[in-house]
Amino acid sequence: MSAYDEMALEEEFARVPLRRKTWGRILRYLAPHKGPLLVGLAIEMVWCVLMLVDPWLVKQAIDGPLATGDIGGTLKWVLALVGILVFRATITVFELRITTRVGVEAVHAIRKDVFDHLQRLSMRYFDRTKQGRILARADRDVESLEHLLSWGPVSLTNMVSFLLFATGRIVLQHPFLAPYVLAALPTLWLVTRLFERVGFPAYRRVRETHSAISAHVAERISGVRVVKAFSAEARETHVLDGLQGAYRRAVLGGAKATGGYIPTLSLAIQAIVLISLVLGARRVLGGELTTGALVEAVWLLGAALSPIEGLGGLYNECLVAGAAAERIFLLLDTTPELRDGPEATDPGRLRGEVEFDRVSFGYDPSSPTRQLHDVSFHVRAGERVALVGHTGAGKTSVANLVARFYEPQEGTIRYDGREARTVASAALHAQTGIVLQESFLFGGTVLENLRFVRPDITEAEALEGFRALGCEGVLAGFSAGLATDVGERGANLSEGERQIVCFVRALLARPSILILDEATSAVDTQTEATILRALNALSARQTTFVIAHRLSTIRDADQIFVFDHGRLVERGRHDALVAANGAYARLYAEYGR
Amino acid sequence: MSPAAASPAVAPTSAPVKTWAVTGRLLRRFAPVRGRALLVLGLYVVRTAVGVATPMLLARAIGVLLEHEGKGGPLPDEFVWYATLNGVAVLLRCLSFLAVTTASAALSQDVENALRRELFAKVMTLRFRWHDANRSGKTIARSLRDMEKAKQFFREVVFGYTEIVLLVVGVTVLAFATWWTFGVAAVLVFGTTCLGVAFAGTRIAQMDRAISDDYDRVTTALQENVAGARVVRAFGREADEVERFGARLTTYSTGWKGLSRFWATVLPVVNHSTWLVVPAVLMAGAVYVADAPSAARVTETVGLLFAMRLARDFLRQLTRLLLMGQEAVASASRVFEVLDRDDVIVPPARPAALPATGGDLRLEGVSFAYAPGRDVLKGVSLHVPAGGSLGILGRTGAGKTTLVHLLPRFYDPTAGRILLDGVPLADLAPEALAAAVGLVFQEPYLFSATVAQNIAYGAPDAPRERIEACARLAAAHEFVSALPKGYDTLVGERGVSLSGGQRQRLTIARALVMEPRVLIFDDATASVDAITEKDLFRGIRAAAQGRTTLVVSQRVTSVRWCDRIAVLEDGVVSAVGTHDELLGSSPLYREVFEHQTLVGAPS
Repeated sequence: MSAYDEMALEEEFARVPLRRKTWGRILRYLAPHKGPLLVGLAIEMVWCVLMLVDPWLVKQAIDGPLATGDIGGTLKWVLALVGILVFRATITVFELRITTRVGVEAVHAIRKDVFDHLQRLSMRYFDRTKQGRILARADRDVESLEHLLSWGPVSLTNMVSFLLFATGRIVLQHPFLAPYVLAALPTLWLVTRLFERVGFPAYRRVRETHSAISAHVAERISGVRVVKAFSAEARETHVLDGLQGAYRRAVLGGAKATGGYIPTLSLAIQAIVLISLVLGARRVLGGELTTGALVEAVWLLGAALSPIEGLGGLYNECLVAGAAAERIFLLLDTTPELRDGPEATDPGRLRGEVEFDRVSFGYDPSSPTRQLHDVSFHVRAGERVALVGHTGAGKTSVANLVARFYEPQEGTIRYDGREARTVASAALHAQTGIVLQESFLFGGTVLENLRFVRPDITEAEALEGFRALGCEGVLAGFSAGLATDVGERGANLSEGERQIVCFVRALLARPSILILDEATSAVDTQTEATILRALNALSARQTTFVIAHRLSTIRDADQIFVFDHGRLVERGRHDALVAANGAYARLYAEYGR
Repeated sequence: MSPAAASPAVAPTSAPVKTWAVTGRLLRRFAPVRGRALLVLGLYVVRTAVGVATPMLLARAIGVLLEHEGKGGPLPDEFVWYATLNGVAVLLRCLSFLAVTTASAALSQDVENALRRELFAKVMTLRFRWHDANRSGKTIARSLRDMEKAKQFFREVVFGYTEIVLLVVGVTVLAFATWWTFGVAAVLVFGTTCLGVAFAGTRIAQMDRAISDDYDRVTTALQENVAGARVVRAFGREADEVERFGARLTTYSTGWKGLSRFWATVLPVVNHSTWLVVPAVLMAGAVYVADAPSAARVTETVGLLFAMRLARDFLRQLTRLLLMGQEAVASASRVFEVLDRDDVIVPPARPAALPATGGDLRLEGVSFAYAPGRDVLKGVSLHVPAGGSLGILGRTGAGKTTLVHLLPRFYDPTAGRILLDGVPLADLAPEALAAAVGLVFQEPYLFSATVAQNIAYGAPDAPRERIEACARLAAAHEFVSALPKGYDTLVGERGVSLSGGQRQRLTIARALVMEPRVLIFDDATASVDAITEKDLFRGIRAAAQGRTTLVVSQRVTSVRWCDRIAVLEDGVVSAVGTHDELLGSSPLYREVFEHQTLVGAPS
């Protein structure tokens, strides 16, 4: 996860009060494992009870045989201790095997749900939501639930059992200590909460200052060429010094919070132990209590009071994880905008006819702003259409609607005469080929990337794909041909090479509709010319929409659609449009001048 | 194929980690603050001593009770004395905790910051060859992540081990001091535990590494899916993506389950074995008392029991520490690998000075190779007089970008030399060279800062008027003024999004602020539309006024206005001349020109 994502997360990192509904949903992921989980927690309780038997056994030994130096007698108690120890270790093995497994399964289910849901969401969601945020949800938030789901139930059982059993035993066995212990528990809890109020913001500052460092470092490394071109290395290091200074102050603030909290708590616990010791001592002198019993009581006190510290930590973790869970559920509750209606069916092989009927469209459904106004056109199967206009005129919006990344607010789109909503979107997408200006490749080999569109593509088909485009020369330049590793997001290839692979990929999808959005912008002129020639030869196979700024790409189109401010203002062939002396002619003149 | 993929410079990072050497090197990082480190160590000793004394005092108090059990009367003075001492010890322990926590946090923070600073400064100064080899960013990202793991060594590992060692040694010494059998019992139990932890920890760390690779694959699948959301939808591959991700997730979860089964079996055994110290001390105590029965000996046994419990609680942390320590050392070894690279520019001892004005640029027989034997540039000789302009035209891969990257010394030629106003580039101070040569990259990269800060990147003290003047020259002032906060608008990854053309204009303004005598445009208009390109050229030609200008492009329209144009083919200058001359003399130039005017655009 990049530093930006970290910062994005930090901005949302709020202390959300625990909501019962959220916890209900979290617990639902544990529900399928109810049986094993309950067994595991029961074992944990048994373990805790057995832990309290320890001090009793020690007391028996001290009060009895040990005090008199009876080796045989002591041995009896020692063996009992060892026996219980072995037993405890054994049941813990079973318990941990169960509980950790449940944790892994639950997190697996959440991860899978999140990913599956992301696949159902439309492009609108991805436009609206920064990548960093999505990743923070699907990755970091799930991770922060992971620890809680794996350990939360066990820790809680452990602490509550100790608290209850140890306190119960002290209260029953030594009623004279009861008021102190019962008064101590809420007091200690208050101390804990109080310090968390100080500690939580302190640690938040630590995270924030750390995120600032990560962001600075990551950005300077991505832009290292700029840093070097301006010889700013020393200055950037100096900026880092400033950020690190703030980080240091925050860390020290956090350390002071911890350094104050733990001693205060342990001071309070030890004070109660001392009070108990003095009170107990009077009873020992009076003969009402044996020394061994006092040792046991002191031992138990430690066991009864120390879970408070852990409970505070757990409570905090629940707050953080609860907030994370809430964000995850928010993602899962985002309804996919583009859901096929009941009338949607697989249209079979499309011929590639596309019709826009009074289509208006805006990216933000909540705003009245429209990127396209009342656009109507009809494209026959196998035609090549060029979309022309200034930046922001609406060309890409048309392409996005043809590819059905979005649904228009008004009007109808028809494929082969069928209304879009009756065409299953998966079937349509499987027949759409698209090459974007920003070419996106997955990590892996060239062949693996081509197989992305159809897993059964053979090497021969892949080679034929390059040949059909006239780009076998480019493939020959790759170090290992089709087996060349393209690197993370294709980083091992140049921008032009990436675009060519994307082009081949789109053609291998055997599309009925091919969309080229600035698809050759990074390819040099000669290669572009080759690709265009090849495309001309192939163009009868599919309907092609081309967005380009270079007129060489546009000239031979069957139809040219000229867009201006979201309206279709002119259409026709090149020569006719130039002769008409309208918007197209002006664009043309602007380019040529 | 790009130089990164062609060159074998990426070092394998999976070399075995020399744990002890790296640990030693990490410890030596404390050397500059050794005085404070010793102080912290002293505080730890105090804290441990008080920690061990507390239960002993408690036991003494109880011992007094044992003697007076059932005898009635007021509390014996001796008891009151021990109880008070116990209270004092508790107080001291708390104070020492506070002192230790803050002092060690400050100490480890300083050591951590120093290491991060050194790493960052190193990465910034490492030469382009290194950055090329690590272009995918993976190695860099990893060394940053590694830094975050390595810092745990200074924070937790060092002090955690210190505390455990002090405590275990303290308690063991106490046990031996009481009676050697107690000592032997302690050594046996603690020794077994440590061996168990070492065995289990090493195994777990191994399994953990395997799983973290699986986890990386899960994360990569997720990141790619989100970044390529449009492509996934365009080809309707959602179902396959679900399957691909599911398969990777299952691999990871399965591995994770295997690992947890292993440690669910081993850790309880190791952890519980520490508890054996209680029965062991009890048993030894019985023999001790039987030898010469006395209340004092019972008291000593009880005291040891309490002290052992303390040590045991700390030993429970050992597994965590061991795992964290192994991870920190493995990560640190990769950080050190970067720190040990020495391919940085060494500034000349006595840098030469440039004349006050100028810009005469001369390349003499310059050759360059990314990998030995594969020359990208072959004996390039060019001359641009001060204030003149030179276009460099060629196909993808001809060596254009490489050529201009030699001028700011991103790389040094493998043969030949480059002179600026008669001074070899290598004789100039890096800062002087950066001020003299302004480069506009093909990819307009802006930092997350305001427009003004981005423009003034090379001269942070530049007054606002100069920033605006440069923006005007670069045809950027108009759109900047229309931004919500004008020149104070935040741009870059965390700010408002600008179009490619807008970003490019800002980078041109950024180059101008330095008032460089040589200005280089590296295919700066490649990814903008024709209209924007026209705007940009307005800016470029205005900026070029009175400066030596180099313009790299694949398009004739971008270079035809230059005084002269050099045609670069396979690393060799095949022709130099004006537009009209080249139409006659260079077949390649002609071909490119004809392709671009295919539509018959008026010239």
